[in-house]
Amino acid sequence: MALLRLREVSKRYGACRALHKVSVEVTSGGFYLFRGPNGAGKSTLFRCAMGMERPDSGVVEVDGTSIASNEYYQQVLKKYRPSYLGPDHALYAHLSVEENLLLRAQLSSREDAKGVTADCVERFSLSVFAKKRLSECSQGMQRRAALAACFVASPSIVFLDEPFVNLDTVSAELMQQELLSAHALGVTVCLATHASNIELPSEAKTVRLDQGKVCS
Amino acid sequence: MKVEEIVSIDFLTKSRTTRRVLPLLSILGIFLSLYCIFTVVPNERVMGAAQRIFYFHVGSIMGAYLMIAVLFFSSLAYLGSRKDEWDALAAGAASIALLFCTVGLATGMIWGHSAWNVWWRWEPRLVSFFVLWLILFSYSMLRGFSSGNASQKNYAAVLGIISAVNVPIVIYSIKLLDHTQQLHPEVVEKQGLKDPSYWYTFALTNVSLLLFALWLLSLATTALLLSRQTEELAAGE
Amino acid sequence: MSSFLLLCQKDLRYLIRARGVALSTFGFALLLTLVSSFAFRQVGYSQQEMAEITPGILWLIFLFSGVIALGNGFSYEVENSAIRGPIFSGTDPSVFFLSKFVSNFLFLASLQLFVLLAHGVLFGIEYFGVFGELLLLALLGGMSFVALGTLFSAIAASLPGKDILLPLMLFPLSIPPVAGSVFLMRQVLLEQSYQWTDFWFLLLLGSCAISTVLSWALFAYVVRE
Repeated sequence: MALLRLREVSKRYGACRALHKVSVEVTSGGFYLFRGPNGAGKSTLFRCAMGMERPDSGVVEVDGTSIASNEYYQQVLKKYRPSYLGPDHALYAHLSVEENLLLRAQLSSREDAKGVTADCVERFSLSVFAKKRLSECSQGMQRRAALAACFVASPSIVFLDEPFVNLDTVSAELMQQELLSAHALGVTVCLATHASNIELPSEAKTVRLDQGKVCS
Repeated sequence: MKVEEIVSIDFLTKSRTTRRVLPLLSILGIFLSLYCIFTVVPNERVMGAAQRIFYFHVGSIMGAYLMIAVLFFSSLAYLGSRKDEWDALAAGAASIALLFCTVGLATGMIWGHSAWNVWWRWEPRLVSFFVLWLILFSYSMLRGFSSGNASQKNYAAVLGIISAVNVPIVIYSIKLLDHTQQLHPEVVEKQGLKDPSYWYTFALTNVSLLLFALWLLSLATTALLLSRQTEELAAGE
Repeated sequence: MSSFLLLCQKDLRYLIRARGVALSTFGFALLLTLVSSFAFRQVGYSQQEMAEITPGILWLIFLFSGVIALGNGFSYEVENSAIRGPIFSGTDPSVFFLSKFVSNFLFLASLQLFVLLAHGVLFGIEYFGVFGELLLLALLGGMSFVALGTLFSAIAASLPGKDILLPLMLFPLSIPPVAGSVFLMRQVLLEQSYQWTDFWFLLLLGSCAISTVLSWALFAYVVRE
């Protein structure tokens, strides 16, 4: 059964139609690449899938049940620990990189949060910056920290919206590797990007969007 | 007409009863009240002719209270169902409440002027209506700063619920602030008017103004819903 | 550590690390106290008359510095969408509200304590016997203010004109608890006693309860669309 299903989801912002009757199915453990020109609706699709926004019409279902109800949505968050990486880094500027990751891990009720955080700092080569306050880090480091925060809570599904923007080659490679290894471990990956030279696993599926509609 | 029909938004926006009967009844009622107020009801003993503004003063305040009740229930309904109609009804109710509260304050000040010779005095009831006006004004400001996306509709619903719950507290507490400061022109209950025509004029004015408020609400809500539907159509199907 | 304590720790860290923000709020409160000592002292009030108007002055200072503290308390959550972290980690929005409420309340309480002391010094009012009671009444009024303010700061934070929208929403609804607190503080300063069953005291407690419960229940709707 599909882990996540969007049925005929429509969303508009004022007079601008971002999504029009979009239906997408995401199965557990899959790797999905979302492509489309700017304004195609990829970001809106991710935000609706994450429950950050409510669609104007249509349903977003996880495990067959709509996430419209707050109680079920909380259950889904606890069970699947979905992660989202968007244009904002979604971290606290006054906390250090390590403190941010530790907070994320602890709030997600991870056992051995300290160990998981230390491991994450290693994996994403953040050791030099671990104790630095986020506001003192460069933008590239902030993006890397944001990516680390995405994976620190061992999510079952991740949504990455244009993650390769403003990344240096080292960070981009780290990101690439992390995506592939996460997928190998069974994490469902949904990636929206314009970048063309990405290494994809063989079973990756591509979903094309244009003007708020899915193109076949 | 079934109960569900009356309680739904359609009764206000689409039903023929609303579009024809409400304006007819309310405007007729208002003219009839004006006739009664100026010709039928005798002069009040203490205040004289100036007391006649009391009927519209109380009527407007009652209209404002009714609209606040509508604001409360429609905000709750919006949070429960997330249907746009309830949000439109809440927005309409708040704007009509603000209108009636303005009229209530203005008539209160006019009445006060004839009683005290000043346009404003720190009199608990007048002050409490002013606070009510500010609460409704802040709701309008919130709507004004919002661009109308879904989370901002949530904000308006939350503010609507909290404002409506606090209205009775604000009114009641300020009234009890200082008994010695009760300068409100004590009217008919205590002295003044014993003529039976007072009662039916009072009732008639109140009912007419309440119907008028409902009619204005239906107009405001319909206008809002139509403009949102137009936007939706402009977004393209 | 429970989520509640973790979030409180995060807020405490903000207060300590972004020291400038907290310090300037205290500085602002001090400035308001100084300005009010010019505004009122010059008129030559007697000691008795000062006791009558002091609670009003105090509450003006609490309101203005408090609203700034509340605004700052949420603006860093919305910066870079930082609040998304806790919310998507599955933290209950009500727990998030409680942690914010407690942090804001503790900050306002320290602000109120500071202002009471500074005010006593600048105006030469002898609070000694009644300081505790005055502080308690100020805190009770502050509790309603902070409960509503936490909710409204979350609403205003993501809107344009947030600096004016927060006081616009908050002040009218804070009038009953503030009026109650002022009235009772005046009774205390004039050495008149009041009962626990007095209307104003019950109103103060009632406002605390209603504001806190309502804000706690409605916070989830503000945080999620």
